[in-house]
Formats: sequence, structure tokens, C-alpha cells
Amino acid sequence: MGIISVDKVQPGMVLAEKVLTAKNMMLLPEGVTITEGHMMTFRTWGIIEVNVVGEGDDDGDDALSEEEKAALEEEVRILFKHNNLSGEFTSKLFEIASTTVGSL
Amino acid sequence: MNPLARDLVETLKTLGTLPTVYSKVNQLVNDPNCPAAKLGDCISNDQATTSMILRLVNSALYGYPTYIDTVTKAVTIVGFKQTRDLVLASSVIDMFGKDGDAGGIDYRGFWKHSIATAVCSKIIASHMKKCDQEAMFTAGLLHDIGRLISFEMSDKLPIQELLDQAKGTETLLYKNERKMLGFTHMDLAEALFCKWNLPPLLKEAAVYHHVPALAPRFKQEACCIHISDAITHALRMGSSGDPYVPEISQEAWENLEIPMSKLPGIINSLKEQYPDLIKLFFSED
Repeated sequence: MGIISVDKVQPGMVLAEKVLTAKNMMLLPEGVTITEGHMMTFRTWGIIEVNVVGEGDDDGDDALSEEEKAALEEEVRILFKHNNLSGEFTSKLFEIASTTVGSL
Repeated sequence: MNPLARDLVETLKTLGTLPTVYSKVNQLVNDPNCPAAKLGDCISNDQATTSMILRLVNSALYGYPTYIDTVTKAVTIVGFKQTRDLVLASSVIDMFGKDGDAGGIDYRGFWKHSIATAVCSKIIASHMKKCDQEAMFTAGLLHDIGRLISFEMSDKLPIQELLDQAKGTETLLYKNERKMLGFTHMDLAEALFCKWNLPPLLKEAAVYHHVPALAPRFKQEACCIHISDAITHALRMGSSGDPYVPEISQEAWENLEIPMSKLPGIINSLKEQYPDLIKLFFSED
């Protein structure tokens, strides 16, 4: 599962997590298959992103070999050399950065 | 304020004053009776600003379903103060070159880092309870402006030595600045923003981005820029001149009051919007 922007949502995707408004009102429970009508509802309520099944997270890094993954992680480790990776935010950011290929 | 930085900023002729369009807009925004059309007309008289504002509001940054074709429409949708902050962003971009290679830093890389931080700050602000998204966009864009000033003055300052020293000792550039220059890029930004008389929120957000806990009034905003700066460094979006991720404050993240589960979504939105903004920024028209 993964969190994606509502612009990327397609009818037929399945919610991995319930959708709440900014005021925590539930719009849709998890497990629902998204329809065109739901997408309109997201826009009406200003929903920015939703968590759907089978999207995001891996971001295609499966294409990398084990050595490439290790090299990438090493590169990012150097980038983070002035940071202690034990902090919750820092370690999460490190994890995401280590699966992002190349400079953007 | 650091007196060395202040004196240095005073000698900069080209950065002395912001373009007249910004001061006019600022005046109108402070008038509670000013109609949107008047502000729109004022901006429309300046072609470069008009073009940049329209490109920004029609970009992935806003994602409006229909094309916004006039500045007045943009003002009504984005808001008065918010438009002013976008005008400021556009004015500053115009004052500095987008290309070039002064003092060993490439301007393109610098602006890419600044744009990424601007986009990221706006996205983070949208997840915060009460934080002005446009102000954060502009603050993100300007947060490292002091570094650009120092690089532009590389004929008078030991910039090359500074870069070599940081590289040789594998230390953070901003930690060497005070030792080697007598001031940091935050000191330069502070001096410049005071000279320009910018709103305190923008000033604090940019000036305290490495030490957000010290921001006197706008701590959350400074934390927002601090976290964005860390994210764009970690994702290698452009180059601030510093080859490492700056020291990250866990407390700054907690200050934003955003659940950790939102972080991947924030980064995904950043990766989606960033290419559009880069294209918009570097395309000439």
C-alpha cells in the first residue's frame, strides 16, 4: 500500500486506509473500491492524498540489484554523516532517501 | 544583527531596493478597503511579475482545474497577502541571475535547491494546522539567499577557501562560515531582509532555518523551513553549496504536529510538483 495524491487516483483502486476530512469526519472506510463519484467527493472535501492498496512505497526500486541498493545506501549514508540516525524523523527520511535513485 | 553582514549588504548596489511593483503591492495589501481588481491592475502593469504569478497559480503547485487567465482572478483565489508573497518571490528571482557559475557554485543548482525547498515548505504548511502556504513558499525560496549573496561577492570574500575547507575536512559549510567569513549566510539574509523591510514571519522563517528553536516569534514557520531544507538535501534536489544534509532537529519535526505517516505522502507530492516548477522557473517567455 502507499499514499498517493488524489490526482493520481484511478477508479478501481482500493483504499488501504479510511479517508478522513480535516475535521476527522470519515468520508470512506478502508477496503472500498474507488469510483468516479468518490473522486469528486475527495475534491469537494479538499482531500489531498489517500492511502491505496498496492501503490507507492517501493517506487520501482525493485529494479535495482542488491549491489546497486547497497551503493545507494552508502551514498546516502555519507550525505547524512552529520546526523544521528536514531531520531525518528531523521531515520525515516534516511530510509526514503535511500530508495530514491539519483539526484533530482 | 551582525555588523559585518550589514555593512556588506549596504555595499550591494543591485540589491538595494526591491522593485517598485513590490512596494506598491505591499501598500495596497495593507489597505483593508482595496478591491482585488485594483491589486490585480497594479500587478498587471508589470509584465514579468504578471507572467510569473500566472505561471505559478496555473502550475502543479495549485492544481486548479481551470486556467486562471488574469492576475485579478489569481488574487481572489490565492488571497491578498499570499499574492504579495508570490510577487516578492518573483521580484527576487528577477534580481538574481538564474544561470552562471560565480564562486564555484552553479546558479542552476542553487535555484533548484531553493525551488524544491519552496515547494516542500508549501506542502508541509498545507498539513499544518495554521500556517500560511504562500509565505512558506516564499520563505523556502529565499532561505539560502544569503549564500547567493556571499557567492556573488566571491571576489571580495574567501569563498573558494570556504568551499575547499568544508570539502577537505568533510564538515558542514554553514558551520565554517562564521569562522572564515565572520558571518553566516543567515546573517546576510537577516541584513538583507531588514534592508528590504520584509514581514517578520518571512524574516524569521529564513533566518532561523538552521536553528529554528531560536526563532523568537515564528518558531513553527522556522521549523517548516528547517524540515524542508533537510528533505531537499536528502533527496539531492539541486545544490545549496553544502554537500551534506544539515543537522536535523527532531524537535523541529515534532513542532509541526504532523503525524509521521504523512511524511511519504509529503515527499511524493514534492516529487510530483517539483519538475513542473523547475520547468516553469527556467522556461523563458
